[in-house]
Amino acid sequence: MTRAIPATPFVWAAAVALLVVAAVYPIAKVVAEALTRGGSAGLGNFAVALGDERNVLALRHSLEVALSSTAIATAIGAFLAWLVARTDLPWRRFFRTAFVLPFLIPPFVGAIAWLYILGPVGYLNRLWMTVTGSSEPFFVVYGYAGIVLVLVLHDIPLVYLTVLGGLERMNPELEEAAQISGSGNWRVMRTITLPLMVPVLLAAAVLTFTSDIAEFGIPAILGFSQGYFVLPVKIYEQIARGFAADSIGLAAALAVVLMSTGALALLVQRWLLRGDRAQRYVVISGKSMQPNCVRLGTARWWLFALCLTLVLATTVMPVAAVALTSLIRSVGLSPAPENWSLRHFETVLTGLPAATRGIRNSLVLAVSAATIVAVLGALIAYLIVRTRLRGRALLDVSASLPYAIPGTVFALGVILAWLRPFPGVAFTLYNTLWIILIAYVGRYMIFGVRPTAASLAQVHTSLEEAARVSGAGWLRTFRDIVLPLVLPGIFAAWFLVFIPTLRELTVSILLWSAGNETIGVMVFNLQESGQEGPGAALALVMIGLLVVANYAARWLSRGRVGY
Amino acid sequence: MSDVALESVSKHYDTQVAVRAVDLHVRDGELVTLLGPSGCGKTTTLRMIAGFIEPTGGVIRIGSRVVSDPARRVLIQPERRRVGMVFQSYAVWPHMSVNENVAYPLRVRRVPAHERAERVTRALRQVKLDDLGGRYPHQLSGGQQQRVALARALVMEPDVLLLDEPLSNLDAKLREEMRIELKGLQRQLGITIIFVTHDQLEAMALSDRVVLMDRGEIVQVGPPEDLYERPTTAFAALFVGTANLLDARVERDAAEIAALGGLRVPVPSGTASGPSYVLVRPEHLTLGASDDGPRARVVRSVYEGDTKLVILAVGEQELRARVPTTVPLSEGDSVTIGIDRHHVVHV
Repeated sequence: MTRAIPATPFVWAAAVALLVVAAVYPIAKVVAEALTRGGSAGLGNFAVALGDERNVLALRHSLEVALSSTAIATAIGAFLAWLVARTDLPWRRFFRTAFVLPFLIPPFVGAIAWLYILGPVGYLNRLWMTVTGSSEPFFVVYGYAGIVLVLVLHDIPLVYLTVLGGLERMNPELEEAAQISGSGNWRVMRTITLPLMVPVLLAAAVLTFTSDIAEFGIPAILGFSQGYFVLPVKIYEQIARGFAADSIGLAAALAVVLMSTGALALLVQRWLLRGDRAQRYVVISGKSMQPNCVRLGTARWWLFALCLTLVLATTVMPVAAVALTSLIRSVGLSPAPENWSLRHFETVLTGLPAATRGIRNSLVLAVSAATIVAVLGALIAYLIVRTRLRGRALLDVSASLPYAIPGTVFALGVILAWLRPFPGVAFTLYNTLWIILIAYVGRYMIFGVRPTAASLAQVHTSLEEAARVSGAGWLRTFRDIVLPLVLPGIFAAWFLVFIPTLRELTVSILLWSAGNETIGVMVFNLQESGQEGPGAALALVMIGLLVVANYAARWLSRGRVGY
Repeated sequence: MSDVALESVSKHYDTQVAVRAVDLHVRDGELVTLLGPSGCGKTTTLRMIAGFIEPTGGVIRIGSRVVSDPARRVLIQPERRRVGMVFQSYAVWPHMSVNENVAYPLRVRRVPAHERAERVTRALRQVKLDDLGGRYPHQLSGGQQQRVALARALVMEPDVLLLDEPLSNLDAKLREEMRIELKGLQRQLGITIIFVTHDQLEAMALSDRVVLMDRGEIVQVGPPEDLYERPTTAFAALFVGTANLLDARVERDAAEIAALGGLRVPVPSGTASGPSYVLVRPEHLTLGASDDGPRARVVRSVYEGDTKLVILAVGEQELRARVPTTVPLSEGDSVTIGIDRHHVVHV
């Protein structure tokens, strides 16, 4: 059915233009920059960048941490999902949500927290040395093993939620049919459940891999002291600390290499599910019936202890370590209560202007970005779902690209796009808060489009047609019928942008400037400059804000948004 | 082949009672349907027989084997009950071909490969899918997937076959075809079948006996003709077919029906006196123009192809009659109601 574009084509043109400028243009700039060396087109930048063995080593490091953590996290996350969805594990309702909680701790804060716990003088290592009298720490989270450990702890929720969703969408009758055919619980799991979950596991692994290979915070914090660099950190170094004339060009070349690895993972996934293979896994749910419960027997309490330990390790311990560090008066004192004070909180809330500014800037940026993306995303979602506009599928792709590629790469694109002053006026967005806002809007655009598109797809066109037949014009129909029905989607979009922008580091660390700090940048800088106490205090403030925002979203949306 | 017996089987969820003290004996080789509105406990009962739901109380026996008896802590898992089951969603495994689906129960039972192939072929022939063994489920129509599910249930030569609304996802024509085939298959194999449905026509067409359930209890058990012609409760009368339920008064072994001009029909001796109901099926009413008998006004007449459904008003009471299309009638006519008193049932 063709639908006339309303009499306000200007609005649509503006929405599409903004999408292109905020999302597509920066990515194009990166590719263009990578392919230009000394003013002429060519592969020179790639030759030089990959001729440097330090960069090749960084690529190898990136691949090895991403592949290792993906394999481990996929196995653990899938197992936890199965435990919660299909067994008689004690406290299942508790674990159901507890496994997701690490989502509220930003990965780089997790890395800092693990440094407090398992750094060379971390709490656990000190405890170990005191108890055993050893002069060597038990395990230091630096380098490959440390990065993989912290990546895994942060990846588990992603895999867990993806697989849990898959298991819950699966028709339990498929498993019952195997059981009635004579299979015991384990055989049902091996011959039916696991094979049917292959596409879901694959999707979870690809998501994890692309997120791990793009991760900046964790390897930056845990790799630096050992000289263990990964590609995003190398690119950051090239941009932030490279002074050679070609350092941006080389950074762009590395960025293209980094993007390609993620794209490769996606291609492998598509190849494995090529042709009509995906249809061999379609498991549309029948009646919603309580799926069968696997009795764990004697393993039940062992697994319970294991799950509890995992919740401790992923959520309780990091937050406790940050809280403890923020309370201890000065570095090196024992963590006993007599050494506690609130002076670090005083510092970050009143004494250190950059920290206070960071909090304010992050709040302003998160509210603005969430609002802009929610509105813009709604308009684009309408174009995609409700019109026959040529190339509307391209709109969805354009909106999702900035989040699909690594944040470091996108930030580089934003720098390249907005570095030069606007022609005619001596004004550049670079070194202002605006450039961060534009970057956030581009990067999180897809979160504005998808939820609204989903709600919109559920509003049958006949509802709009009924309003039109009743005499309402297009605008009136939109206001009276469409808007109220998709409002929950727009609301979800707002929070889906607000929460990640509030904790953003990867993009901001490349775009901030004096006076335009964000909380994430300040936590990172305080940690890197050895100011552990204030850094921990600010990190705790950040976690507090995230928890409040999360529960506000949950409450306002009656549980549909948030964790 | 086996019989199935349920003795005082119940299922409670916290305070809710899903099935209450059900007693039922399904004879060897019999086809019994569990019929009732949604939430009546029929699916719960079937799933207790399969072993997917653990009963709160009572004994379930399949053949000579007690498969569930909470009082003596007996609970045999579904995979050890040797029953076949066809699910409402068919539950054909999408990652296996038709052959693999049907072979699965044999593979689990370690049937040697050559015998397996033979039995798979035979089962597929029984459901007329001989040449589709290599296909994957997504390449099959809904009706064909249904047959795969049936073949998979039959291939292990189960003691009992359980069917959970297997026809409800098929279109009307296919459903009728499958009904006839199922019936034929059951006659040919002599297998015991328990069939769950909410469709009373399906229950009538298929069953040796119908078990009518409501709110977790068995309301009536009997051959289809019994249920249709001699319902024992108003619920049974109204759920099975269309019925006119009329106010009556019982006095001295007869019920007097005010709406039919004080017509009296005999009731079993010992029936309590007082207000009561009687049941008349629409096809047991005749309409005429004579002056003799109770009179009614034609409210509406609906042409239904083979017959005509007439809605009548007798005072406050509404009546439905099904008459041949040749009877000339128009709305507002006054007609005389004729009634065959042998077909008036006191409930």
